[in-house]
Amino acid sequence: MMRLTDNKIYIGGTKFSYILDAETGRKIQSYPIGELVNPIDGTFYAMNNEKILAVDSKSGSVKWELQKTNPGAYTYPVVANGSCFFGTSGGKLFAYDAETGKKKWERQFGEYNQGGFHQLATENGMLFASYMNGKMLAIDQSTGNTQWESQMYNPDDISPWNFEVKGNFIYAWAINKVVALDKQTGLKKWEKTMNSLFTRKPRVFDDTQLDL
Amino acid sequence: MKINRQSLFAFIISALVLSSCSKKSSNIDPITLEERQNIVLVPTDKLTALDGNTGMVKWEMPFLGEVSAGTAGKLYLNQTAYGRIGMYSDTVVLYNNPSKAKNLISVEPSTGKVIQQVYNQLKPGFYLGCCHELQINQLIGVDNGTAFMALMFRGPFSNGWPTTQRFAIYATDLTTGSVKWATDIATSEIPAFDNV
Repeated sequence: MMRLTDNKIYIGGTKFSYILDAETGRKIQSYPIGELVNPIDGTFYAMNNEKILAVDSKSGSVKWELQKTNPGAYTYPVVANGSCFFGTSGGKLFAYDAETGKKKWERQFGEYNQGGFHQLATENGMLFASYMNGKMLAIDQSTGNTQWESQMYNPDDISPWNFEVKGNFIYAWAINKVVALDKQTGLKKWEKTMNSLFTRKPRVFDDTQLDL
Repeated sequence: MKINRQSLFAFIISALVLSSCSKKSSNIDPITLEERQNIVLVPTDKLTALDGNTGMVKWEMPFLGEVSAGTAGKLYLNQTAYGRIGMYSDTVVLYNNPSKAKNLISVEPSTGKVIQQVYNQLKPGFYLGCCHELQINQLIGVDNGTAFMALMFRGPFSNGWPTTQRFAIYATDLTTGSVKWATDIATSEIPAFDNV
């Protein structure tokens, strides 16, 4: 995992992570912990095979950690408004206090055999979550209540649905399909099936990104 | 003083005109109507740009590689300049047979028109000219006219294992095409192709 932001280059290996100064290439910091590429308010939130971790970006010390006790895969954790969220392939969704690691709420969505959660994203108090059976959910961050849900595609087609929230839309994709949803309502605006499979992850840009 | 009707009429008109000219300008600021234009870039065996509002195809171009957002109205595409030899993971493809193709392409986002092409592939430094090397030059991002890339190299292979490897991050000035800096990452800590 590598990321360029705030004039720094974050490199997250499996067991080590580096930060380079983008101006000079000089190494600013390194950590004997993998996957540290996305600091939020001075804390990295990362996940490895066994744990979900919160790591202080200055000292590199672990602030809290959770053992992954649920069977199956976990989504990568996302953080907003003081909460750290992650979901499981069993359809469970968790909210933890981002500072202390104390659980705030836990919800079960869908049936175990529906593939569970694949990706989460946060925006303006909402938590958006893609389910492997082609469902997209908008969930209240503070309560875990569902605001809307949208079946984007055939529910029998279990696929890794990734997505990006941009402007008034949610753009989701899997295999060779792209779907655009209205962010407020979940209504499908359009869908497109490409003639061949994605070779890389689709990307979404808006004119504010392109005309800085 | 005697004022005739014609003079009085001219005076009233002049006063009205002056009055309207001296009024303060309105405090209401003009509203700029802003329509956000999303573009969804879909890389398959070619690169397709979809209109984010309608899903209609805006443009297509032959392309295999990575896409990065840019500044000053440009998209940056890191086109593979190597013969493709297979998928390494969901996100990485491995290539061999390096060429001198100019791989880093700047594109006008609304039309797909190519603005600039730069050769931007750092060599491993210990290329032995043998077969079975694996190398990728991955685009991390572009900022302020500089492209940040990762070189990952393993090879040549002996009995299925690479005899050398290199993992370096480097920055290329997009105006001149020159490498501004290159920093080697200790492969004892983060091996080449680790978690990329």
